Amino acid sequence: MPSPAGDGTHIGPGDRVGAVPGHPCIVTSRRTTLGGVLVGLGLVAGCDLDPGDSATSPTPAATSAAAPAGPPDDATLVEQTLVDLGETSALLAAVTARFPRLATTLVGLEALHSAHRETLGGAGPTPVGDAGDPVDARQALGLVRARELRLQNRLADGAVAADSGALARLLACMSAGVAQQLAVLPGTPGAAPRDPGATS
Amino acid sequence: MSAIDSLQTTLAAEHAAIYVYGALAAQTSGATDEPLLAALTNAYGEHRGRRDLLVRQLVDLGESPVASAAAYELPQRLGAVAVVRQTALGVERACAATYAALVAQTAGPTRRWATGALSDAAVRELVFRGTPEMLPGADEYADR
Repeated sequence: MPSPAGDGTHIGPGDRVGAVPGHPCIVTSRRTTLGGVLVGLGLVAGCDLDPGDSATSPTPAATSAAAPAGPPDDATLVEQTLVDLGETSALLAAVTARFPRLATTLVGLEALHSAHRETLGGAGPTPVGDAGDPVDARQALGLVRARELRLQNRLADGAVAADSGALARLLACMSAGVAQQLAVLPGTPGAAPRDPGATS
Repeated sequence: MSAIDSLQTTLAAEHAAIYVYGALAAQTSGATDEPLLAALTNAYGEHRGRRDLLVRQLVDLGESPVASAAAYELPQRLGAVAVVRQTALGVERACAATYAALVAQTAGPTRRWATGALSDAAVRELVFRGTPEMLPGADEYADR
């Protein structure tokens, strides 16, 4: 049984720690389409991962497409997320074009967004972006950091807004991926130290 | 699995994480590896805080929070620094997966809280020599 400590620690019989539920509905391929990813997430094929607790579940009325002030449906949420990812990728491309020495620093973020777009079925050429008018690489990096933080928050908001538990989980994991990249981005306040043993 | 079941599973994971971190910290010398001990102590405190919040949520829902096991099996050679780091990394990866599952099973404020806890665990992985992943907490995408 898997455990919180990974392979090295084993939880005794009967303990529920390792009972992380499987997610059979979350099956997407690298080349999937938007329609494909929605099927994979169970959004159109009836795979029900809705929360079982009615006290915390969104009500049908609250998520209905007919509700004028309601949250976006999941298909719209996926499309909006792809737009957000595309715009952020475009900024990275523009910053890298203007400050080539940042290419190595930003390569992880670029790969992350590309993978996320692909996961959502939106793989394709990166849109053309505008880096604005930063005076130097440090300012450009600050611009990137702010945009990435906004993306992290939007992904988290999307996770909360999603009807489907599977899509919520995917967006939350994307947000966590951005958080990791932000933590290793040079100059991020409160960035996690990469290696506590480096000085030992 | 219901939201309540998922909250209980997450609480059980936090019980285990606290136990494991306590053991890891006890095996780590502040004199020879102060940064690692500080990281372990910080993680221990974070997981205690998560545990307390989960207990409170379950009590507020009228549920009896699952109790900690008396003990959890630990890896061999815990005195080795590399084993300590690898075990801590495993704890955070498992907790990230657990919180990702909680996100799927809940809604509203609880889901938002779980989303934040997932990100916290993912970032804490890096402290223990983890590397950034495409989708932390989602093992089925681990090859990406």
